[in-house]
Amino acid sequence: MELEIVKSGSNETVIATLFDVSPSSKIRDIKKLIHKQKKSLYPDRQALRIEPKGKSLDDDVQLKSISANLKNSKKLFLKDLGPQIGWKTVFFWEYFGPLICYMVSYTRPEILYGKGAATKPMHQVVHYAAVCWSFHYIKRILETLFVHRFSHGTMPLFNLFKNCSYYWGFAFYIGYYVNHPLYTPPYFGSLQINIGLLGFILSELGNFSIHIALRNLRPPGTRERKIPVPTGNPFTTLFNFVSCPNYTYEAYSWIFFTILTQCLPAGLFTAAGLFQMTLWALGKHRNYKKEFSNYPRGRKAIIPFLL
Amino acid sequence: MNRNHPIAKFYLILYNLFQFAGWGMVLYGLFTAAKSGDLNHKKLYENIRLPLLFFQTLQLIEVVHAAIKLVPSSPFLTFLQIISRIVVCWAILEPVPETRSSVGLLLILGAWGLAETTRYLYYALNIINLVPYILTWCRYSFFLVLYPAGVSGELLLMYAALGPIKQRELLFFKLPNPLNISFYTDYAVMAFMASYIPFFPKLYFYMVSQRGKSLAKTTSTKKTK
Repeated sequence: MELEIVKSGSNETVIATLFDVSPSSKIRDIKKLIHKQKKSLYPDRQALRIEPKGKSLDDDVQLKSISANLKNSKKLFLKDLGPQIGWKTVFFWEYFGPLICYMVSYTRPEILYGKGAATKPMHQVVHYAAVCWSFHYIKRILETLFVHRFSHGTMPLFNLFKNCSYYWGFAFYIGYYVNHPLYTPPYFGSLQINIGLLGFILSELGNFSIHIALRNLRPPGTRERKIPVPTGNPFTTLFNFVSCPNYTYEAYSWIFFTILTQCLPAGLFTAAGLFQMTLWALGKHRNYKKEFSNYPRGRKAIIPFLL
Repeated sequence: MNRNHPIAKFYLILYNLFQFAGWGMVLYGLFTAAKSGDLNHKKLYENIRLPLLFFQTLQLIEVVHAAIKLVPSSPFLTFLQIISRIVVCWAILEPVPETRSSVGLLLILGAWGLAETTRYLYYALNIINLVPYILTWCRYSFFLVLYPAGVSGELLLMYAALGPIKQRELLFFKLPNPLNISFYTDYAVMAFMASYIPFFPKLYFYMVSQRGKSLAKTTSTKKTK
């Protein structure tokens, strides 16, 4: 059959016309055909829709299953998603930056804190905080490389700049105060430090456990989706309470880091992160409920019993 | 809340006329000062201080109007538009009297006064569908000059405040403190000024596009009539 690929948002601009497309071909194949005609529009850059402003079609959808709904029985709308970049590249830079930014302030450079700052004494908790911070971001980089399975290969290039400025900016903002020569150590002394440290380590372990459980949920090379459930690992029990325990543990990590350092910028970072993760979690929670009619009822999105 | 309910309409007409009168007072203060040739800013500010602060702060209620759907605008955008002026009034003009001798004061009073009187009169008459075309035209054309003038005034006032703020360490929060954070008001004001760079063109060109739509709509309805 013949397909007319029209620019999304317009009704006229024809980007490409495809002849002799087999009805059994999938959206993925159609994207490749478009790419042949339009070199700049590689498949990951394209989103195909039935309506000019409708939902984007999944790569696995077969043409014959939708051909009855097409306008003029041949129109598909194409939205250009803009230049794309690999997830792994984005993740690497957005996590590597914070490591560097924080470590720069940890060395107390003259340009930030004035002459002789590096030789002034540093409280023990400042060293603990630097270890926690580095551990967290090294863990994230390693998880990106070896644990996570991504269902989409790319994201818009703009996200690289957006995400990096968020993570790098906060890393520098927090590092600046925690490593400052005028830093005030925790009010409740070693009790507060121990609670912060222990809580942080447990939350990181919890977060890692969830990432492993999620990885094992999806067999390699597939895009199968299942309801996540607790495994033998006790940390994964949180799946009984929330849909996205990885976010819950992540939030716990930063709450304990804030307790450890008693630094308000770290608290702001916690709040900003919790806000963003709550939005993501609510979206995923909604998808789970929509996809699985037998989805556990008592489960919340991110905060047990609450939200 | 149904905005077509007679009580809602009555309330909105009253509110808009009230604001119209308030900004009229500000404009009148500026006008008499200019007429007497005595633009002594200190005296001018004293004369218009109450209506300016009162009616500017009262605009916050428009965020509520938008939130309860009494008016069709977005509460967030409404808030954004109001907040910069609230900051200029309460965080610059009030605590830093030195700024009142800046030419920025004349600019904001003239720009805000003219823009708001036309806008509120337009709103009030629009509810009862009695807007003469000339008023629609004014409402959607004056801003082309008044908006940049007002923004320049705001920026000049903030710039004038930087020195005194730093000198008096106004609202500074320094290290060391148990929260391990610091706040330098002059830097905050500079950051606020920098935020105009992305926001000003966005809002300005949004309004230019609104102008095109509104004026086209009125002329076409006129023709069909």
